[in-house]
Amino acid sequence: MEILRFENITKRYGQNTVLDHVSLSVNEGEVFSLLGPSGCGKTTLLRICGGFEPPDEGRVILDGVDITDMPANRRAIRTVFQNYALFPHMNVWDNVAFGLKATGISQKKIEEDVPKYLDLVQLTDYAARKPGQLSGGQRQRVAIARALITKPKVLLLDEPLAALDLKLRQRMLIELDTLHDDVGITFIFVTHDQQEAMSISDHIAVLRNGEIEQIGTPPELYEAPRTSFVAAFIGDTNFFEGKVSAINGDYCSLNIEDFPPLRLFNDKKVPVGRKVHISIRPEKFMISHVKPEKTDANTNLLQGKVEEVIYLGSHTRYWVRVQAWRISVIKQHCGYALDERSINWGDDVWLKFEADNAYMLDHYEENDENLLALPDL
Amino acid sequence: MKKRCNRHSRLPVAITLLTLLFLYLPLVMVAIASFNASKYGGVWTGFSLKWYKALFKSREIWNALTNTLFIAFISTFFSTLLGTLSALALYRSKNRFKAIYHALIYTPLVVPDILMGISMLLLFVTTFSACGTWFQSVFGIELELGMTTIIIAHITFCMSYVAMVVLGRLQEFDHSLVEAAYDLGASGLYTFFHVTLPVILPGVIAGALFAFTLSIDDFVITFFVKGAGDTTLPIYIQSTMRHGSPAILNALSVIFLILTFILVFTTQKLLSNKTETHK
Repeated sequence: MEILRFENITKRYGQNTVLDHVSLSVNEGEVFSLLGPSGCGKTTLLRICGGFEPPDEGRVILDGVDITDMPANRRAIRTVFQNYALFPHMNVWDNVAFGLKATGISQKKIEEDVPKYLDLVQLTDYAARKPGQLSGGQRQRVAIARALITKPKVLLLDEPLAALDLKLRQRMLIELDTLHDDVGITFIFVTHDQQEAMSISDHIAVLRNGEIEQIGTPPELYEAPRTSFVAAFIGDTNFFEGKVSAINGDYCSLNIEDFPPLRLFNDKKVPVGRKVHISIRPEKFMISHVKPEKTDANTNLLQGKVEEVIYLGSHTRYWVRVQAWRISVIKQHCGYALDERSINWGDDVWLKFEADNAYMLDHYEENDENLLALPDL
Repeated sequence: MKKRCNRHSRLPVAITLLTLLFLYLPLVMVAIASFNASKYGGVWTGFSLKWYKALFKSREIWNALTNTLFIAFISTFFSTLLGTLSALALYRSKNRFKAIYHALIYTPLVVPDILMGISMLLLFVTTFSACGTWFQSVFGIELELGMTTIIIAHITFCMSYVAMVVLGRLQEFDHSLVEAAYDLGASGLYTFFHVTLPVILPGVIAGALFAFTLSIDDFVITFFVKGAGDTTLPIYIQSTMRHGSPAILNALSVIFLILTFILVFTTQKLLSNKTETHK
């Protein structure tokens, strides 16, 4: 069921259009992420949602009610600010109680609720401390308790993990997820970190330059990216450009320069003669010394030379040169890696991938390859 | 090797001591002179508390002191109020004339006192001659230079100082605190009294103390705008220095020194407590 909807939100600062007709819908009780690089407009969208900035065009609908012109202090939406914005002159208890006191809730109810929410975020023992005496993770928990105690319909989290160090970030991510399961309130999570978004979200909207690139579940975005930007921003990938040469049912043959004709799943129904861009994730390739058996027509084989090997414990990344292309390949170590015959720098290898594991893109931009940040070898 | 690392240069210590000596030697001399039986400084004729006795008996001094404190309290109150409000307005303003407002509030700080005094005297006299008769017929009060004009003048120049001190505090103020308060459902007024004011309070207190000190201390501006019979402490001291015995002033200075030290110590303590919770 839908709880929040943005309709054609547009926001400009002078000549600069920060949000360009953004529409999206958030379901009740889910974790919805707004993901994108800095300057993509995700924070502005959040501020419009919280009521701190009015949109130039468009409406914000909360639970069926148009709240576009409602002031921030009357919306049933709470924000966890990036710097947490805890009141420095109040202790943890007073910070958490603030929303209740400010809206004239009875003292009795306050004394009943505050301990409950302090307990929820495991800060009961810290009630008398001032924010300055807390660690980053504790401050964040205060900010969350302070927001949740007022029972909002939607909780907005603006890069809540950005201020924490890496180890703590992963712990807080799990804590956030558990907390979300406990309270069941809709979370809207703004982040530039695709891993954070992937691990916590039910749905993700990828934003770029004030426009939505794609909305989907984490697997949808990873496995079926619509654009080269999404493919490159979420995870790692290889881009190829080719021309459709023949159609066989749901599949087609693709001619890529220097490659033998490849078999691909043609879900976009691209006609013969059209140029397409495809994305193949590194782990979709099988790498081996010996030529794999071509089991059916949908198996593609490429022959190349290893240019670089990066051992990463659970997996190894190879850069394989196939004519003019350099392909990133990941091999998961299933067995005991030392027992395997290792693939080394300079080895001739075979790459195998299935027709179903390559994905055609609707839209390709050459600049997006920079996101993959290939090192120059 | 180790010895060399541990050896500190004595130069900074020496300079510090000399500076302190330069600053406090005159004060020490005043304190010693206040116990001197001699009427004129320079020659020690024996220990005596007679100047302190004279001080407490002097009706003129008590009158001047009461006036000074009365003026200081009233003008501190209003200048703190107005100064804080103008600082807040300036902080929030997104107006393109913001720089001009800023300059207008800042200017009284750099304008020489004597100019402030003359211009204010001119303003008062002009106003009184223009609408004095009308005012008297309506309210039955005669407009003339006196305590009220002194207070107005003090508020005017103290306000700028308060505004600058509070504005300094506001520069560090995290605006997301206000947004957070709104976000949690607080009204504008509730946010001001429970978030903004408590956070900038150390700045407001510092500004008020500044204003208080400036008001007590002011001679030049007061001299211009005071009425014929009004005496504040600085005015009294100046006239005594010219006509009477300076020895009683030594005793007065010592008492003021002690009060000042207590005041400074208390505010330091107050401010450091406040900032600790802030950080």
